[in-house]
Order: sequence, then structure tokens, then C-alpha cells
Amino acid sequence: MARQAIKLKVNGQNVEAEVEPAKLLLDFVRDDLGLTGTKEGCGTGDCGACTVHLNGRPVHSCLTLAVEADGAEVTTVEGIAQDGVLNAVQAAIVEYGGTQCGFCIPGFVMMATAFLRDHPKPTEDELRMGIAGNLCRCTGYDKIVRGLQAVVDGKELALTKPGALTDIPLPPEPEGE
Amino acid sequence: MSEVLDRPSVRQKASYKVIGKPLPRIDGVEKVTGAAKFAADYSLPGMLIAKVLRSPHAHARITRLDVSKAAAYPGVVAVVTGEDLEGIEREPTSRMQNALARTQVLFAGQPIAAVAATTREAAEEALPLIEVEYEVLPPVLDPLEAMKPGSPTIKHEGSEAGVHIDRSEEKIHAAGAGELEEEDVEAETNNVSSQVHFKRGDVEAGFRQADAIVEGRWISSSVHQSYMEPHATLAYWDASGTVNIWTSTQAQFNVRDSIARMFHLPISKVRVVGTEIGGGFGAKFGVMAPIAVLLSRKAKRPVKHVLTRSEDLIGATPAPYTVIDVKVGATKTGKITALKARVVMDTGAFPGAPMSIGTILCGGSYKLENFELDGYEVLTNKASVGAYRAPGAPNVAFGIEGAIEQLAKKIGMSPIEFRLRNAIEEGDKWPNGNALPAVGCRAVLEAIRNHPIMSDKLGPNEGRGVAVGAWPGGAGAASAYCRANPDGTFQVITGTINLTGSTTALAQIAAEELGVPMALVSVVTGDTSESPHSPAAGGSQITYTMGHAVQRAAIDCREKMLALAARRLEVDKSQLRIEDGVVKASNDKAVTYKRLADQALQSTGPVVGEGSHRPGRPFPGFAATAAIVHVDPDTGAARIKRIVTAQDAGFAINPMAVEGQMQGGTVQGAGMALTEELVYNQDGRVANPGLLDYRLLTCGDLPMIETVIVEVPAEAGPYGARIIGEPPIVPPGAAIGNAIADAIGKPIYHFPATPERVFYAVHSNGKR
Repeated sequence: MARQAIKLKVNGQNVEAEVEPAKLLLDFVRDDLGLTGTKEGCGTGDCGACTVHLNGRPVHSCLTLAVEADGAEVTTVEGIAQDGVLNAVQAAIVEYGGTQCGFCIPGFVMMATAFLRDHPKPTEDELRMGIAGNLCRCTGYDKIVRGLQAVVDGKELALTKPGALTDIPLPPEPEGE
Repeated sequence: MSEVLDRPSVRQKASYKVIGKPLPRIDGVEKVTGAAKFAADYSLPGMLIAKVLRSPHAHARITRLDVSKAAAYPGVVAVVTGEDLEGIEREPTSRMQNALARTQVLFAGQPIAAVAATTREAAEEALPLIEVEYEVLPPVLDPLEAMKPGSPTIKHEGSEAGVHIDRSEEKIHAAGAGELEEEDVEAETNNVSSQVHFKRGDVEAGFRQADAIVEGRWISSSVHQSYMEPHATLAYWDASGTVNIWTSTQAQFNVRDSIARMFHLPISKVRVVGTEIGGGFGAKFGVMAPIAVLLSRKAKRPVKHVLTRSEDLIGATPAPYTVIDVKVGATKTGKITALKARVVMDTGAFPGAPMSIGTILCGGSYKLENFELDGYEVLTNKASVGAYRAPGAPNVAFGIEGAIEQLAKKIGMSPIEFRLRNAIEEGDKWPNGNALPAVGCRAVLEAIRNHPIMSDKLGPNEGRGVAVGAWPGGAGAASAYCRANPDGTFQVITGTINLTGSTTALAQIAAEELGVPMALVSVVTGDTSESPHSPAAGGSQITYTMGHAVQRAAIDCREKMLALAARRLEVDKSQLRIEDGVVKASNDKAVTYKRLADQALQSTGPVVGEGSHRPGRPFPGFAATAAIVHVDPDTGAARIKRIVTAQDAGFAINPMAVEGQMQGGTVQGAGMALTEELVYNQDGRVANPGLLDYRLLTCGDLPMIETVIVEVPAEAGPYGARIIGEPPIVPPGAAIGNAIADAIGKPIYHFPATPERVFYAVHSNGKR
């Protein structure tokens, strides 16, 4: 089938491409753009690992065609941290021990970032249902939920501070040696 | 070097600066930013995509196979079939070595042929062009039926009587099983690929002493490990004759050895790059690697083979359907007098089920004077099974712990007191004769007994259940390097896959011994050609084994640095101490590690510490769970209201990571108890090959998962640490089953306890 030209913004950058009409947004970002942070866990919209934002809304990129993103703004997990600083969801998931194997985590970051933007003060039940479409096999969800509750509660998160990812606490050189 | 490096006292524990602290994973940022690269994220120039044609039949003979049209399809570069296995090392009963069927199909989903093409679309379009004709044979799906004379017999290609069954992988998971005493009781039983028998005392006399006896049959369904990342391999058999393999595996050295043996290559010609792994839980030991290797050999190009979720559910290596018959008796005063159990484990089309260890663990938690335990591994026409986190242990726990709970109630004793009265201790022997070292069976039960969950008031339709369980763990050989960098940082280099966050624990150990903040230590996982030899991330053993190797490497590195410092500061080495990365002498002089490492580059040469370790024995771990469950009387749906798992960590090097393992294991056990089941239809096909119908528990199904870490030091573990990953999956399923039984007042014998099964248990004694 004839390829179709699409123009979109991905993580703030303009992208122009020609794609097969049947190409999935998931394969487009992973294979054509090299943004492999977005994962394929099931290919059928059941696990949430492929979640990206399409014009700000979380979608399963495995159930979305690349051509549907024509003219849209797409954000992948690579576009969440800004200038080397994690967003609160990312920082909280790390600091509260929410990552284990981490394969599902990009999907959780995308889903939770959108969910908490739209529902900044959820109860625990609301929070759980808000991310219930994302499967995790390692953690039992406990530490992911606790991390996200810390975001809801406005707890201080060290990893959201500039330099948190790069500064290494080397000891000062002693004097007189 | 002595085996016992450190068995920390309370005072020592208090003096630790880095170990024992709940620190976030050092790879967390890579995971939340999408930077972590998993196997399917790798690509090479000229790479081809592989797709596999699988048998729709569970049992068949292939009468004709013609791949010529597929091979001629535009974009297709290579097609491989069973014929391409010619000349390859092949035990008839090895699933991995028989990567493609030749004339016999033994399960639905078995690979028949594989195609490598320039695009995924071309590979997918070429598959239907492969012409296969089958003579369909009746399948046998129920292991109890399969054992009966006259049922269809599973015959492996090229098999003769007395073939050697490769059990090396099982030993990785459960070194504690030691030399299994396998005794052929009825060697000629149909489809039985392996049998064990363990006996002590006189069970009949034991049952005569009993005031109460419980007897029943418990069934646990086949479940899938359901790692979120499906199997993925990128293989490149390059022009120099080296096979390079990027793969999602827990055990890159095992994959290297297996591929080298299969293809008759020296191990220097096989390089395995174990990438980040999206969960394995026992299933990722290289079983899927050969197809990409075969295709790459033929195509002379890199080939990537990624399973779809559906292929993974149908055609990987799930955990076994298990039937356990239990008879157990006790006196009124709460002493178990006899245990009789028969474990039948459905291994699918190839042997390798954790039947031996499962049977041993029937007597894993209690002092038993009289027992008779029989285990049968039975072949059926299903995908052969693989390890799944404490393989076999949760399956037998459903039966043993279900019966123990019933028996306690029958003699009018609290189930936890009954367990405590019989809890196995140091010096007691497991059924295989292995005497136990110090273990935490009693400690975890006491932790549960003392937990508020035991005194929570139960609401209507609620029930409470407890269970305990063990896992022996692995004990592989481990080695590590510790490199001092000229900027004052350190790098630990190992070849262990970071499956569970073990690299964070290893960094903590190195930082502790070096006397530096954790942030100055990074851990690198090298591939099999560049890293020191490392054990598989299986059998819960990395912290236990590699922890020692890293400790020794860090100490070696530190001592070399101190020797440099002693010369530089002109004092004896014994006069030095280290504070936060600064070496201080009694004469008030001081020097940083940064200076020392930099100086070493200019003078004596770079500083590298080395550590090597082979544990003398595994150190079993125990966990216990209590659960409160609500059962909807109208639908039979069970929901966990509260759940607590207590585990003996020996010494928790990273309590946050230990809790994470306990929570994850608990929820996996809960999945086995409540929702997870591979459903096979009458033709032997998986009827629910997707994550919509193969139902994993979601965040919305669960409460917080409470944990209690207890510490009974393991003499042979680093700082007293023992195995962590596997024990917490053992008791939760059984505890939930017991809680449901408590809520409905009827036993639950078939897992998962779906609403339908619970409903029928309530209304018709389990019969439909």
C-alpha cells in the first residue's frame, strides 16, 4: 500500500515521515525514531507498557496507528524528564522503590503522569483504579502506589532537584597532605 | 579464606554505613526515563526479523513439510526447519536442543519452521506459504490419564530407553535438593519421565497414633510466569565464526554454555550479552535462543526474534499443573504423627518439571517422624514447563498447607500454634536427608502470630488463613572485580544479570567495604566474554553467592589502596582508617582515594580487586503469610482485604529491595490462588492466550502488601544474608486458599479459586 506522509511533534521536536498506513504508532516511535523506551508487552492493549501521550492523552501506542498521530503532539517516556531533571512521578517511583525489572515502568510513568495531572488529589482507591490498566509483574504494585501517593501528598523528592542525576559526592581533598 | 567472613552482631549491624539501609535501586533512573535497553531494543545493520510457524495440533506426525514458497517470498532471506538441526548436539528430551520439530509434534504451539526476512511484515506473510501436512494423533492432556496404561504415549524424536535427562538447570534453582535420591518404583508406568520416593519411619503406625486425620486432593493449574517482557533474542553469527547473542536471560553464562555445546563451538566463540531483563521468574535460561542462532547461521546476517505475548503464553515454558494427594494425622496435643503425599506434576511434552524438589518440600516445613512421599513427573501434550519462582513449591503448599490448616481446626488448635508446635529447626532433616542449618521457619511463624492481622475482627463473609513455606536456593560459583577509578569512584564488574535489583545490594556491599558513599560505586554487568564468571540469577542466589565475591573484591581493592596510602603517608597500614573515601593516618595525615588511584596509574599500576567464591551449601529461606479475604456470597468472588508476608532474610542488605521481593512474590502467589490459569481446550490448545483472558492481578484488585522482615543469620551468607527472591511466593497462595475456606466454611481444593469454583464449593461441595 502507498505510504502516507505524516507531520507531527514528538517530544517537542518536529518529525516528518512517510509510513505504511498499517504501521502502529508503537513501531513508529521504536523502530523509525529509535525511541525504545516505549515497550510492547502484549500488543493487544491489555498491559499498558506501550502507553504514550497523544495530544496529552494517554493512549496504547500498540492500538494506535502512526497515521492517527498526523498533526498531533506525541510524548514518549523519553520526553518526560526535562533538562536532565525527572518529573515527580519518575522521581517518586525510583525513590519509593517502585522499579524492579522496569519493563512496565515507562507505561506507568506515562499513565500516572497523565492521571495525576487530571486528578491531582485521588484517594488510594481512585489512584489504584486510575493505573489499573497497567500491569506490573514484579512489585505487587505496593511501592508504585506509595510513590504516587507521595506525589499526591506533595512530599519532597530529591531526584527532582537539578543536578540530582549527575552530581557525585566526592570527598574534599584534605589539607596539608 | 574462611567461609564465615562475617556474622554480624547487633553492634556490628549498627555500625554499618551502607548495608542494611533501604536505598533506592541504582538503576532506577534508567528505568523511569526509558534509557534501560532490553533485548528487543537492540538492532544491528542488516538485521532480519524472525517469525515462527507453530503447530496448531497438540499431537501429530508431520507427513510433509515444504518451505520452498516461503523461501522464495520477497524479503525472505532464510527459512529453517528441523532439518537444520542436523549435526547439532541433541538429547531427545531436551526442549532447547529440539528447537524445531522434525517428524513429531508434541504440543500445540511447537515450532515447525522459522523465517527470517527483511521486515516483520514479510516474515509474517511468508509463514502461511509454508506447506505442512499433519497426521493428527489423539493428545493426552491430563497427567492422571496420561499415567494410565493405554493412554497415548509421548515419544521424543530419536529417544530410546534409558536416555539421559538433562537436569542441570533444575540444580541451579534448587541446589539444596542436593543429590536427589531417585528410586524407580514402577519404572514402566506410562508417560512417567521421572519418579521419586522418600520415606522415613512408619506412616501406618503414625496414622494409628493420630487423633485426627485429614485427607484430600489439591489441584493447582498451570500458570505462566508472565514476565512483562516476552522472550527476545538478537543473534549474529558473524564472519569470524563467533556467535553473538543479545538476549533476555537470567543466566548468560548458561546460555553461552548451552549454545556452545549445541553447535559444537568453543566457548570463546560464543558471546552472550545478557541485556536488561523484563522479568524472568525462572523461565529465561535460553530456551528460545536457538531459533535466532539457526536463522543467523543460515542467513549470515543478524536475526532478531521477539515472541508476541500470545506466542509466549502458548509456546514458552509455563509452570506445571500439579495434583497433590495429602493425608496427614496429628494428636490432640498438636503433634504431627504421619504424612503421606503423592505429587503428580504435569511436565508437558519434555521433562524438566520441579517434581523432585516439590516432593521434598512436602516435608519442608515440619518435623516429621513418619512420612511417605511419592513424586511423579508426567509427560503430556502441552508446552513443556519451566521454572517459576520457587518452582513446584507453591503447588505443593496448596495441598500441604491446606491440609495442615484443616487438621489444626479439627483438633481445635489455632493453625499458627499448630504450625509452631511442629516447625522445622536447625539440625532437622528434610525428606531427602539434608540436615538444615539455622533456618527461620519458627521466626517467620512467630512474626505472623504477633502481627495485628491475626487479631483483626472479621466482618461478614470474611475469613483468615495462614501458611508457611520454604525454598532451598542455589549456590553457584561467583567472581567479581572491583576497579579503582582515577576520579575517586569505583566500578564493580560482574557477569550476573540484574534480575531483582541485586546490583544495588552489590554496590552497597562494595561501598561498605571500601568505606565510601554508595554514590561513588557503580556496578557494571559485562557480557560473557568480558566479565568474570558469574552464576545464574536464579535460585535466589545472587546476593548470597555474588555478595561474597564482591565483598572479597572490594576488600582486595581496599587493601591495595591502603598499601599505597601507607607508603605515601609513611605509616604502617594498621595505623590507617577510612572515613567517607578519605584514608586517614594516626599521624593526622590523610589522602583521598582519588589521589591514590591517580597515583597508582602513574606508579605501581592500576588498582583492581578480585573476589571469587563458591558457597559450600545453599541456605534455605522461609516465609509465612497471613491473609484476610472477603468472599461475595452471590458470585463467589474472593478479594484480599489484608495480607502480610513475613520472611527470614538472614540479614537484609537492602530492606527496601527485600520488601519489594516479598511484595512481588506475595502477589504472584495471590495470582496463582485467585485468577491465573492457562486453560487448555480438549484439543490441547491454550484457550486464553492473551493478557485479557489470562488474568493477572492488577493494582485495582489489591490492597497494600504488608511485610515483616526477620533476620536469622545465614552463616554462609555475606553478613548473614540469605536467599530472598523465591520464598515469598511459596505461602501466599495457600494462605489465601485457607482464608477463602475459612470464609465459606468449606475447603477449596482447586486453584485458582475463581468465582465459579468458590461458588460451587459453597453450593455443591465443589461439584458442578
